Amino acid sequence: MLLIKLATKSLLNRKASALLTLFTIAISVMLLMSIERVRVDAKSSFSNTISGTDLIVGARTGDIQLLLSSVFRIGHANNGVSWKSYQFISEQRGVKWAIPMSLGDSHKGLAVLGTNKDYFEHYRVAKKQPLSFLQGHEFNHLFEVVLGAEVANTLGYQLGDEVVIAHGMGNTSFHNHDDNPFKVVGILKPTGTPVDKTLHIPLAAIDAIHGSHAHQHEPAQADANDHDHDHDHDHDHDHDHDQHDDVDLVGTPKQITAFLLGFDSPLYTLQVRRNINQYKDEALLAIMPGVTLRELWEMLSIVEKILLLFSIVVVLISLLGMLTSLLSSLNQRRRELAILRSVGARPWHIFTLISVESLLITGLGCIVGTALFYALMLLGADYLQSHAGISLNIALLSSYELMLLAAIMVAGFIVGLIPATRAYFYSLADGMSIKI
Amino acid sequence: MITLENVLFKWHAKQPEPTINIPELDIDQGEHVFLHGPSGCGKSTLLSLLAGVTVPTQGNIVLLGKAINQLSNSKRDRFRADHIGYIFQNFNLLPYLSPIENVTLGCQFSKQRQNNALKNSATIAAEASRLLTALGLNDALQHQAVAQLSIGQQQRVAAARAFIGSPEIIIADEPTSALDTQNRQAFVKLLFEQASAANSTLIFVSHDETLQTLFTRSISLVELQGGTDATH
Amino acid sequence: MPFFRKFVALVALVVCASANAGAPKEIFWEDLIPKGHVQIDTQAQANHEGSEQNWVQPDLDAPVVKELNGQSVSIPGFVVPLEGDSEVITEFLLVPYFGACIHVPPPPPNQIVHVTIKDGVPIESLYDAIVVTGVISTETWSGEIAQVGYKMKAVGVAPFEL
Repeated sequence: MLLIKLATKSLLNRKASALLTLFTIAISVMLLMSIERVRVDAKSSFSNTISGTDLIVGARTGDIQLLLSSVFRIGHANNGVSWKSYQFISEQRGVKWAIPMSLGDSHKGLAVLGTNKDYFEHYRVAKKQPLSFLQGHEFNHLFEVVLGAEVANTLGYQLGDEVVIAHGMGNTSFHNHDDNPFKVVGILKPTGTPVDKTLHIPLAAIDAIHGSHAHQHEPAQADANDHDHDHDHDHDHDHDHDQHDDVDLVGTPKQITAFLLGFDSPLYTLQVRRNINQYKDEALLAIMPGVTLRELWEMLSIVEKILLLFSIVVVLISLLGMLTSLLSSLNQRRRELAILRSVGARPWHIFTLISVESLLITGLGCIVGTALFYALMLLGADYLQSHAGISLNIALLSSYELMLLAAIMVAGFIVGLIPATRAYFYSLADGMSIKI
Repeated sequence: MITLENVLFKWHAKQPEPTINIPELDIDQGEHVFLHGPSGCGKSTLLSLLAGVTVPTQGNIVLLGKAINQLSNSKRDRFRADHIGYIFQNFNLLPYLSPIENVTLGCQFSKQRQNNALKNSATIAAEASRLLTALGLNDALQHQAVAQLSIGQQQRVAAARAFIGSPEIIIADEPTSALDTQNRQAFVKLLFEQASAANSTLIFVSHDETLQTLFTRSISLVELQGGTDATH
Repeated sequence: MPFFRKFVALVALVVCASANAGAPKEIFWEDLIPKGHVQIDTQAQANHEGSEQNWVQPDLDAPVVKELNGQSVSIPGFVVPLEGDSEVITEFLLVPYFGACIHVPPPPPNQIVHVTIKDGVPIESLYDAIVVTGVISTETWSGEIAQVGYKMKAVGVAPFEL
């Protein structure tokens, strides 16, 4: 169409200022979309982290702190749960399974989790998906380790490798237990949760690496009581369970960091939660993951809203920049408008011409901005995954994001109406004789 | 085919003296008219009225049998697109279009002119090229950036734009003022050629008396308005 | 002729019955307790159990109203979320009062409904009461001892208007 061609050529003629405006809009679009994508993915990453667990129990700290430290490996629990309490509670009526967890150790900055084999069976991620193995299987002996997907990728470990695990959370450690290397026997499939960046070892091994530096021998006789209190009805035994009865992977630690509980029916959850919170023998805290996650999001929702507001303001500012450049260019273009009038263009042609220009700039700004957004996501995905546990979904634009882009286009159109209207009235008033 | 009857124009109602006051003006089809007057006597206003950009406060302006002052705004715009070609004194061209594109612009707002142009050539671009060649611009110049053309060349592109599609009325507002003397007469001759070819009426506004002799008819704007033209 | 009349009467009866069965029955929390059963206050129960003073056994003897099994009902209550994602809740406990409160004893199992809703429902605020509509069932599952409780497959959730 003639007007689109004229608008395009006109913009090309003012390349410098048009490009500048375009990039301003592009960057603001990139910002808005990145913030929204990270926000949405963070939320779903977090809520996808744990599923199918009725209660998380730990020392009486705070709800959100317990959630963050036990599931997200963010922050540390500064107190633990006595083994005695764990045993008592996990034997209570209604408890279908209980998984002890011991955190606090690390390997090259990644968290080490001591637990039992039930973890691989009962721990679920998003929508009750169980953990599954990419390679290998769960640990059956004391000095064996199962790696999360990210651990294997980042550190380049493979099945059969030997890994040294140190005491303490940071990268540096002073107790390097070289005499107790762990053999990699399993690598998990990626889950998009902190499981990916965790090393899983038997609970008993935690004590072993903190104990004397002499070699630990695996006890030949297992205490089969470990499994008595599990309710058998849905219990799938793994294929080499003959073997695991021989090795005590749990041991008798004095303390664990936290434990997970699953009940025969969620109807028990409220009662047991109260029991644990009022437990007289030890100061304990029980949280329902779904409830506490919601509390976490409520806390963060203010931050979310502020971030969204800021990015919207940035978009508006960039559109105002476009307005400024179009308006100021109008003054120099009055001759151009007079020429168009002289060849028969009507004022609404002029109006449409300027409108099309603003749409072109906004539209191209959106396209370039989206491209920049994808570039940014690709660059930042690894960092976000390893440092914040947020798994970014590098997929096509969601309908929400398309709606955001449409809203920006509409805003650009509305902003463009201002210079278009002014041009309209110029062309009416000036006619063909303009006072340059 | 151009008739003005009792045309009065004031920029605002309280204005003591009207800017334009023409009791009568008749121009036939195909005439080449030299319109002159001192600056400030209302030449541009008259051209504006003739082109239908402004409307007289009183009186009728009849072009090709139509009283254009009685047309609505959009109809007047359409009339101008269909029947009038306009050449400015300077800065005629859109800097972001090539010479050919500037010329085709002249018929792109009117189906009628487009059809007329297509009677002569296969495409309007080809017609533009034909006119530019007739006006002395070779092929290379036709595609050169407008900013790189000389003033004389730019004015000829403007002329081609005014002529494309054979509009019945050509209005030239001091088109040679920016040209040097020797090019002025040549330019006027080119205009005559094109106007005659289409049997268009040419209204040439200028205060260059050396050109006046080239025209068969000369009108003093001052006398037209009932005054005496001291310069005549 | 008499047969025809009987037939029409039968059809009418069936139509009426199914029409009534179609509309969800509005029930309240008292309806979940069998008539005549005296609910034991779980707190008081704790005082009876000597060595287990530390632990209040969930009141598993709280019986359910078996007649409700399979009925389409709607019941108001508060939501305690179990499963879901950032947008919707797919599984939750429905309780008679605001469930997050830790100052009062939680309701006994026959005053809680374990609700699942297929596509999930976005629930903005856990502080507001809602009305859940769906098919309620009384489920038994075997564990250490036989246990019963209410489950519901919800089809709709609406805000509770007083």
